[in-house]
Amino acid sequence: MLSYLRSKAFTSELPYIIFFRIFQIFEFTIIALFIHSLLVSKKLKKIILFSIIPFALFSILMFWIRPKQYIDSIPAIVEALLLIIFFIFYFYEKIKTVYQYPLTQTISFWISVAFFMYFTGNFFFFIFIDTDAQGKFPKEYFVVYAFFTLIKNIILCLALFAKEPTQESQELQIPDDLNLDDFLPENHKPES
Amino acid sequence: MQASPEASNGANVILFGSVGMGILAVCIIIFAILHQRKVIRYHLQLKKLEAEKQQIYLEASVRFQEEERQRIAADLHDDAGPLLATARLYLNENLVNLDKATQLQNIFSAKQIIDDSILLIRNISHSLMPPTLKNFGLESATVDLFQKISGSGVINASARFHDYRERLKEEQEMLVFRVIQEIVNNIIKHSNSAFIHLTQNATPANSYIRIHHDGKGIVQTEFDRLSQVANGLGLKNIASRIKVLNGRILFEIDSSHTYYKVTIEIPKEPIGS
Repeated sequence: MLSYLRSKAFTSELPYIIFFRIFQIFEFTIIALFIHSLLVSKKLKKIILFSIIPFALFSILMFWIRPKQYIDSIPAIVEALLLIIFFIFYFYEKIKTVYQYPLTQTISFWISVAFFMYFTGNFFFFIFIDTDAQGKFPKEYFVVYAFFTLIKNIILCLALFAKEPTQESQELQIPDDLNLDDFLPENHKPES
Repeated sequence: MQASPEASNGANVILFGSVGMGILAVCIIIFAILHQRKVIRYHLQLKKLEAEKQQIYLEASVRFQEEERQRIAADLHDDAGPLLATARLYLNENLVNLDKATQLQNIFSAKQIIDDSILLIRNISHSLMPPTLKNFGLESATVDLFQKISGSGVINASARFHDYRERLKEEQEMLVFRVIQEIVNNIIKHSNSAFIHLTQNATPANSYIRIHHDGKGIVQTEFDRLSQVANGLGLKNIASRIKVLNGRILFEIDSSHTYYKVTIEIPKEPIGS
């Protein structure tokens, strides 16, 4: 989608770069809020919530003071680092809390795994992204990024198939042909 | 086109760094999954032990209650009955100094009261430990209970057992009977219904008892709530007895909203287990 926007929607580079930075803030906000919704600890929730605005301000500041590139490595590193820490918070909380069913049965866990893999795997890519902007690295360089993005997308797709455990039904397993309702109130006559 | 050494170095750093980070991430995820499974297993074991302990307590308390009832029933029947009968004889001797008409009147009244007392004690004894249940089983005791209720003329009551060839164990029958008694008492006391009907049926694994009535009843959510509150002793007893039986109970209302039904599922236990 970004490539399409880059080639078709934006005629000059600056609007695309602005759009890309806004997208980055938006991406961070959505993922942070997602982790926020999964956490139980109020302290951790607060940390996540209060990180959104500073990150947005930091990103704007970086846009202001740093050279205008498609991807600026510093906000990208900060974003990845913060999200990796938040996901570690999430995993830490999950292993500390007792649940009745395995984590692997929940959709939210697999979504977290997908993004965690994506940000950890691409962390080095984000560190060196500035260098690539100068066209110094070979194209194979992007294979790493593509690989982890693919893994993320596959896990996200698989997350859709995760079967969330439901509350045990209180319905009794009475066979349909078991005669328990032969009696009708209007026809009721006491047995002699 | 050959890549510069700087580019090649950078690519290597990215490659190894990313692979390393990827492996680290996978390790963290695997650790979280395995650790959480271990914790779940441990807690399930604890829960199982706790449930077993609770089951033992419940069984002990119910058994104690039943033994106590049996003792009271025996005391009432063997001691209170003869004592009252003797009191009646003493009463006859103390009345000799009164005039004849009063004597006769008093004696008649005293006899009447004592006879009623004896009958009352006998009834108490039977309600505490129904002899029919002990001697003839759940089916006879239930049918007997329903006939008595119907005979009182307050409510139209009937019970039908479709498949009770394979009897439940004695202690199970006792618990089921107490549950039925409690439900029926509640229906008579609170529901203002015109009839109660009990149907029994069975599958190879379970025995089912369903009670219908046309009064004001409760549904499962209300049962769950009421059996948690401090004053819901009757419903609590039902819940604890059902738990001891390893059974389940379901309070429902008919789709036509004309009558309520209570279904009890009792797993059949092999004799001797």
